[in-house]
Amino acid sequence: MKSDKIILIVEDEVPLLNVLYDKLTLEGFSIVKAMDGKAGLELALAEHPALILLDINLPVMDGISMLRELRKDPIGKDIEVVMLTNFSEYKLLADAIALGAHDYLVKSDWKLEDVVKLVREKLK
Amino acid sequence: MEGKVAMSSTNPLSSKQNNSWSDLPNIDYEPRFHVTVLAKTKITKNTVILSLERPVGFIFTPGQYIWLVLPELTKYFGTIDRKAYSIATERNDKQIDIIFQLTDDNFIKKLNILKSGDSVDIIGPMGSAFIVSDNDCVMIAEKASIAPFLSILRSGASQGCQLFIYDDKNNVISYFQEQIKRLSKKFNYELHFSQAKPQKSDFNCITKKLCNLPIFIAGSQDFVNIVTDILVKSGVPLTKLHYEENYPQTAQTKKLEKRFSDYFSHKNKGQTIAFSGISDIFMQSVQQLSNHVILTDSNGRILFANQAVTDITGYTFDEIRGKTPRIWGGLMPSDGYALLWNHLKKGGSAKKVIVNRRRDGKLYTVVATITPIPGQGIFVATEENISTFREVDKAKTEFVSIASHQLRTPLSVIKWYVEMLLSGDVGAVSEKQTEYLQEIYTSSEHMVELVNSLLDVSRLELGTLKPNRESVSTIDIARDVIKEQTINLDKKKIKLSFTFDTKIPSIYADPKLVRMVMQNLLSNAIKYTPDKGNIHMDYSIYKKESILFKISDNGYGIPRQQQGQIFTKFFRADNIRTKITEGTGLGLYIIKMIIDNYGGKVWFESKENKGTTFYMSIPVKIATNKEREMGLRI
Repeated sequence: MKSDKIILIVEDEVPLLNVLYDKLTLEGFSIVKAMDGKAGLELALAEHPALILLDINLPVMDGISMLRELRKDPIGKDIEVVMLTNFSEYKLLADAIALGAHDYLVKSDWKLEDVVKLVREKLK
Repeated sequence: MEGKVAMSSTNPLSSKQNNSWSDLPNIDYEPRFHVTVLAKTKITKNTVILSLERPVGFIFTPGQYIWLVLPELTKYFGTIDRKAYSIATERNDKQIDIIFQLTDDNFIKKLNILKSGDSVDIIGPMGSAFIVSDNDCVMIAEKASIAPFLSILRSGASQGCQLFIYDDKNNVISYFQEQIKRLSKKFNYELHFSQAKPQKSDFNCITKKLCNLPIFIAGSQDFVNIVTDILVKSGVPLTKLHYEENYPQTAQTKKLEKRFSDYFSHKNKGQTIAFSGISDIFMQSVQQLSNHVILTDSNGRILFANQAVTDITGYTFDEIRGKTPRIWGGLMPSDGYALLWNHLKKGGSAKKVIVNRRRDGKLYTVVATITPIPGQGIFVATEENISTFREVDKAKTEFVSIASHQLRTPLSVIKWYVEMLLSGDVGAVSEKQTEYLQEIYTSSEHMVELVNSLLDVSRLELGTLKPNRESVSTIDIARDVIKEQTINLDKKKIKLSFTFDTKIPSIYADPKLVRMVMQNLLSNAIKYTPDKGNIHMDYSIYKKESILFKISDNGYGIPRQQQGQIFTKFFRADNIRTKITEGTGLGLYIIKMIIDNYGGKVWFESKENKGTTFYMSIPVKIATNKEREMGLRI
């Protein structure tokens, strides 16, 4: 089903949002995007994406709060979430994992190609 | 110090010609140098001159001293590894001479087996108390204690000064006599040699003049006592007398030392002897403390509070007398207090971090230590206010976290866009463009590495993350790390061999930290070894209680004069800065911090263009109290 392949990217840094969007679109994925946590949550509950790439440092509602709200909803509780952030604080990692994030990637340590590989694996 | 010395120095520990302490020196490193022994000369049966290489940038003022460090003493014998020695050479000499007397002391024995070509560490120059004036002064020395004066005389400072030298056997002095006579002629020093003990009559000719001159005295304790006694009785004020290692003992000092030593030796045996005024002395000490001290009865009712209690809590002693510390405390979970009191009432003592509230409502954090006094029904409670440290640490942690996030974001943008261009996803790029883009990519990766290392350093320094402690096989970690580096080894055609004792036990540590250490050591060895070089890694058991890791390469090596700085933050040796542009200068600093925290040691041997061997010993049983909370990159 096409909706299974939808990826939601929640990222407020426009250049990063654009490069992720371009790369994943080129790879054949359907992308929806949001630039703050609140919009991301609404989009997640409306679009039922198969995977969310979620930043932490977001306006309106931060990524951890969005994840917490997402998990409270029956639709959102099982969506696969990969944290994609430039924070590497142990507490944030622990919070994200406790809320059922499946991976925690520090953007600057990852090649774009490897992010795509991981996404492909997740959506197999 | 009233001396005037026309010298400038780059060393922050050197004497400052500033009479005020309003500007504290900004000392953020230890001026430590690894130097070669140039010569050892035995000048008498018991006296040796050790000549050391003078490191580049070592600027001193005559009268200053160095710490001579023999690290093996702590490593192998657990004894103190350093002693202070006056510099005997003049300020333009290419070497540093020190003079020492042979004794049974372990340090001296070790010092005496050093030979030309061996190396030692020195720290310094230090000290300003013994820097003499350029005006008239008097120097009084005994035997080998002449060392600091030799430096002054040889440098031609304090011309026209008077020099009194005592040597009952005339051994040490006879060695220097001709030279001192020559110097005296040249610089107009007035000389007095004597083989007898100092006598009042020695100083008669100058006693009147002496009253106004600074007098510098160096020698054994007895010598210093005798000379001081003579001079003071001749009317020389104590303020004119300056000493080096030994300061005089007066009759009153000796009496006091005996009273204290008798009192405490009896006290330790459970006896009490009379010491009138002792309670006043200790009361004054307690009142002067900046830490909060209270005495309570066994129900916690306050019997005494020092001045710091008022300063910290805002309550006067009268306001809290008879009350309990609940007046500022009681903010912690109640079951904790119950446990604490139960423990104290059973005679145990306790140390806890707790939060209190001041009279004005402001919260503060303290380390509280409470100890019952056996049989007295009294508790002593002290509190150290650590609020400021915690606030500073919190601010630093937040700053580092935000700063690294802010640095990583543009770096991610650069990396990912360059990657898009290089992959050809958005159109073909020429060969030259690919080459340029690759350079941008490599530099951004280098920058990412730098940000990550800085974050590691800051977390290790702040201790912001709790380390995981589990049984770790260092051999398995080494194998993994070698596997990770295979690409880099192949790229440079470097041959790597790995040997280990099969009986190496596991250690109880954080595998991520151990991995970080191994990764840094191996990647350094690869980075700083030219193509087709060799690296050898070895694990062995060391002194039964530690494991020793050794990694040798036949690479560029570390220049001798820079070896003392190798573990400092951001240091990169001159010989590799142009050859290898990558490298942050943080790897070895991180390694040392981790290994020190595990109670281990890291050291090295290196010869430029021959290679380097790093050694690292880690105790198998890492003492929990030695381990700080350490953090690392996730």
